[in-house]
Amino acid sequence: MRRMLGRTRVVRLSTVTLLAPALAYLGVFFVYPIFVTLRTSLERTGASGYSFDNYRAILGSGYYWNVIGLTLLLAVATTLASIVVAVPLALVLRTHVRGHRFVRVLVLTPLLILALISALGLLIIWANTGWANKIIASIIGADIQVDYTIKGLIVFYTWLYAPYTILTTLSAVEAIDPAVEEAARVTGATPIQVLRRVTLPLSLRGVRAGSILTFLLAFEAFSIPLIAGGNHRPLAVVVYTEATVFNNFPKGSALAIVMAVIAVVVLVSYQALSTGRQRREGRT
Amino acid sequence: MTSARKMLRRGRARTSAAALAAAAGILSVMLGIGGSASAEPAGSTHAAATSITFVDTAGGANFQQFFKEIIPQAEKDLGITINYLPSSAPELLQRLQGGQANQDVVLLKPDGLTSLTNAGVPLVYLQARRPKIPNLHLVADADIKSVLGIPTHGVAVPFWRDQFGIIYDKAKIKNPPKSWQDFYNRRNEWAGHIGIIRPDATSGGGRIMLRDFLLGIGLDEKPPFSQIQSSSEWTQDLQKLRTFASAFYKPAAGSATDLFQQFAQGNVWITEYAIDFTLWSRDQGLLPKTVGATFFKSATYGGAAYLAVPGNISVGQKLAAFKFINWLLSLKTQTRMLTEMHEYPGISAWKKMPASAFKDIPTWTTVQAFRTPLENNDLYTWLTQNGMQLLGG
Repeated sequence: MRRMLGRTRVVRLSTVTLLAPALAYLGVFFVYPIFVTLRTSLERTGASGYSFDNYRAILGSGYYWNVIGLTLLLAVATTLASIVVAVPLALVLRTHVRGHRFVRVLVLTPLLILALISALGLLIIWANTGWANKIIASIIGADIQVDYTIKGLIVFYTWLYAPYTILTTLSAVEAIDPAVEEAARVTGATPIQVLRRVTLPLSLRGVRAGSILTFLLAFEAFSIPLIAGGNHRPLAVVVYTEATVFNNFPKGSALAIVMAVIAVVVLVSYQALSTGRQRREGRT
Repeated sequence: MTSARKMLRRGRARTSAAALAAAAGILSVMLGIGGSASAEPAGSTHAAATSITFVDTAGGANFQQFFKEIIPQAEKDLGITINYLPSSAPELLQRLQGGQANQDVVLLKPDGLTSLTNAGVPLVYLQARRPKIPNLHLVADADIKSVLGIPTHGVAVPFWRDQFGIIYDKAKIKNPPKSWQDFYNRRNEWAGHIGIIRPDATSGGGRIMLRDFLLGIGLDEKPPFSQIQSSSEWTQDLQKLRTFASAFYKPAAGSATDLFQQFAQGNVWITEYAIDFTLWSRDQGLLPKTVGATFFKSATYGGAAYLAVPGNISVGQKLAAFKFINWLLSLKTQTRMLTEMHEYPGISAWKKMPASAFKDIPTWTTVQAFRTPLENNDLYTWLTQNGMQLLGG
């Protein structure tokens, strides 16, 4: 009996020991900062004590709902744009066309440049006198306004965050066994049917993983909208302004908590939706 | 079996108690219960610390680079390690109120210093430390007693004095305005090309421009803000400001870098901004060479950045902090700031400054006649919070 109890203790002790570094890390770098932010968000601005005043002010204001709407719009549009770019690119790159290695390196470029520098560079090339704007203007025969617009922000975000979707999609597409697609073709499926019924469903896992990363990064984007957003200021910039310009840390913290809650809700919903869809497709 | 269960239960109870005690300990640390503040004993003979943290809440990109260049020399001269930390006044206030005692020397703009003193953050009375900071004799007495009209009772000493001016592209504007009223009257000449930084940006340039405009068209900022707000002139002045803002380039720049980019693209031709940062940016190639500066004879902001030492650090840290402040106030460092950064020094040893430093900027005597320091912090805060609405943003 004692031996049994002793073994149980050893198992429990080793479990605790193995978990300790991860728990300590989570506690110090995640739980504690969240706790401090939560506590600060409940502080009364310019008064002592705690209340939900900051949350009431945020959720009862049309301005903040617009900010939340803008942030979600930018994140969702960027995610969709990234998928639209990633899937065809991955399908082309897996065939190892000429120059595919160069394109693979090129895809990584945005990740190598500081977002702040990227934002400035993008502002310059998309300005009325910038070369990107001039090229498009020469094609369509009219000037286009990209800088300081929502569509401009989506273009900039996509440039910066699409690589995450592209990389995971590419790795999922390249992991597809060619024999599976071959089997579909042999049994009479047209190339479009192979793409729709075999290739795309099998690459969905990669698309999903990448798009989650892209969504979260776009949802929390700061440097690009700070520099290139003009009057379009998403949540991260508004949190920063509340805390460091208006000196209102409690409201800034409440906004940060609202932001975190929205991110978690969207993430969980997206996971549930895509897992359910995968299960349904698995059954059929 | 029963005794085994009891042993297990007892074990679990002990584990739970330990976990509860640990959680309580962590919570008490998180909530800051049981903290203590260190006091400086009188007549102490403590040794200076070998490492200090210098928190800069006032410098832009230009000064962050300047500090990175001069701090290694200070470390060599003083034999101490100086950790340079760019930050913001609200963040610093948050840290100091949270009880952090590792901010040894802080550099603050007037509003930042005011927010610290208003919040009751204890700062060391520097005036009484003259034996430890001999270069304090180079600073005018009046500059230690008050910060741009706000009494500071000797807890802060000016490190630099910055000056705003009208920045314009000489290639686009041959005859710049002579005053704010003239600027307002001729706004249509430059409609859509008058630049401004968002009043709610980290950079104070935009809110300062709004304040200067209001002062320039006749607003008196000396009375309390509540009194200003209730006057009929205030409504008229705001209406005039809205009209002026309709000639601004849209959208307002998010930062100084963004504003300069708008200049470089030819979208913005004229604005009001800090002379030092503008000239430095021009030297760096961030602004067209055709960009120049002019000054209105009234309602032109003149600011400053102040050095202070939080009272909650140890005696050894304070001694090292005084050594560093003394080094920063030395003629050598202050002259370097004037010649390289186009920034007016905090010390008043004008006769010892090289005349060549005033090639690009007016002499201090000239500037002193028209600089208008911040005298109403409430007005400034109001413009920070409501400025974007005035601009129609």
